[in-house]
Parts: sequence; structure tokens; C-alpha cells
Amino acid sequence: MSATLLVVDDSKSSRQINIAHVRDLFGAQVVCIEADSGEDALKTLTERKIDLVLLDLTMPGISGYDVLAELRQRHLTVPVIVISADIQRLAKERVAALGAIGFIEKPVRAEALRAMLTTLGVAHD
Amino acid sequence: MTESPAQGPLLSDDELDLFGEVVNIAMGRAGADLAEAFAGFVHLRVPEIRSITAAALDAARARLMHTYPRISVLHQEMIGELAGDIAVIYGSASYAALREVLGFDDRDGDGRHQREELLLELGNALASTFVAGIGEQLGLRTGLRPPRMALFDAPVAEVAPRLFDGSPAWRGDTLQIAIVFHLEAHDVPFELIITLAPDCLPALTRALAATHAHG
Repeated sequence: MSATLLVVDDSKSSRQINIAHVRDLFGAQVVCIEADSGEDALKTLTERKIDLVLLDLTMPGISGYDVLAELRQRHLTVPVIVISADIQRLAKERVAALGAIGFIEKPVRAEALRAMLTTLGVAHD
Repeated sequence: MTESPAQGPLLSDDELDLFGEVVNIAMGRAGADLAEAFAGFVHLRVPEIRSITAAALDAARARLMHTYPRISVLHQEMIGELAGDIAVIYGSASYAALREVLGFDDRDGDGRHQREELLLELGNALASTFVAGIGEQLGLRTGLRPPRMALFDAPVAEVAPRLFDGSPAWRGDTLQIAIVFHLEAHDVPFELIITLAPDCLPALTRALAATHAHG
């Protein structure tokens, strides 16, 4: 059975890169859907069953921090991996405190994504 | 800031999106360095990349006059394949807060010299990290000439006509990147404004195409 990933990023190229990495690494094991904003992500998460979210932090409107806080507020327990260029130590600590289960720095390297998804059991090598 | 009218965009939507990510990553590195230096958290907003004309510089001046009563401006020239002009803009409030963050007392002695040194060091560090991040990602050779304080704690209403005097935008339509770093604990905002030289846009476009091709 395949897992469904929600890839959230305001940058189309960034979403495409992440999806390409996931497809290269895991093929049909993982189905990717996209959201181009925090608002779109929250809407999708209330409407569909998602197994994992790859979430950008710095977005116009609802930021990645806001999405994490809103998920907690709504008691939605979907696992979230933050993928961000905001690589401050405090940024990593804050998203962890908000419930993110992992943090991958941009630019995303396929090995980092593979290691994270495999460790979490979302997909297998 | 107004958008460039007339001849169409300088970058396609896809190129702009890709360049936005490159800028975002470089901004993140600069922000992390800043956070480390001040042992604090730096709020990062989505960077703005806009097409500008010489006429838009008037709008930029007007915005700064509206935002800050007094300003200091560090100026630095970018050279190489990605050339242009960098301005780091500090409002007076941000300087006072920086002094508090760094814990030095400039009430005695040559306070102005200390303050200029502080702003030069901070701006140079930010600009260097940012420009290195862009050049590395795009595979473009670029560097910086030594920084200088173009304006120091000056009333913005008086100096506004001189702002952007040497801007590459006077030589033709080009791209400008605007980034606001905001030190959370001390409410310190400052802006990094990069204006690319019009004649380096073809190299930028080629580099973006190569970056896209290599994923």
C-alpha cells in the first residue's frame, strides 16, 4: 500500500525538487500531492488522509510555524517534517516544540530525505 | 516599489520562482549567522524580488522616508559575473537596539567611530554570507568590494534625494532583491537591498537554466 505525502511550499520549483527526490527514491510506494500555501495545506489536511507532511516554514500568509500551531490546535496528529532554508538553531528547536518530527535543510539532498523517510518508516529502501 | 511596466518581465515566472528559492536559501544562511552572532532568533520574511526601473527608485525613497525618521546606509559593490549594488539600511531604532544587544557603551570617547565600525561589520558579514550563498548555488563568480558607510544616522528627509544615487537601475531595467531581517528579542529590523546590474541578467538567466536542469 502506498503512503500519501503532502508537499507544502510556496515555491513551485522547490515542490518539484522534493517530489522528484521522493519519486526517485521510493517510486510508487509514495504518492505526492502539493499545497502552495499554509492555507491550502490546512484545507487539504482537513479533507484528506495524509500520512506525512513535508512543510516549508517561510511562506506568505500562513507560515509553516502557523501550520504546525494550527494542527496542534485542531488536534490533528499527522507527522510533519519541516524542510526549510531557515536553518537557525532556534528555528529547529521551535518547530520541534510545535510537534515537527524532523527537520531537513534546504537545498534538499536526496540522501537526507531518504534517511529521514526510511527512519520514520514512511517508505523502505 | 512599482513593478516594471512595458517591455515584459525580466524573468519568466518559472525563473523568478527558482531564483526566489536561491535567494531564500542564501537569506537563510545569512539569517542563521546573524542569529548566532546575537544569540537570538531572527524572523525571516519571504524575500521580495522585483523588476525595477529608474522611476521606481523614487518610490523606494518615499517608502524609506515613510518607514524611518533617521537612517544609516552601508553601501557595498558586488563584482564579477553577478554584479550590482548592495545597501544595508538601518533605522535609528535598530541602531539603539543593536547597541543594547552588543552591550557596548559609546557615550564616552569617539562614539561615532565605534558605531560606524559596528554597522560596517554587521552589514559586511550579512552581505558576504548572502552573496556567497547566491554565487555558490548558481555557480557564478561574484565578490564584494570593501563596504563603506554611505550615510550615518542622517535625517531621512534630508538625505532622501541622495539615496540610490549610484544604483544600477539608472542604467536600465533590472532586478532588485529586498530582504528584511528582524531580531526578535530586541525588535531590530534592518534591510538588505540588492540591485543587480542590468548587464548581468543574461548570466543569471543562463545560471538559472543550468540549475533547473541539474535539479
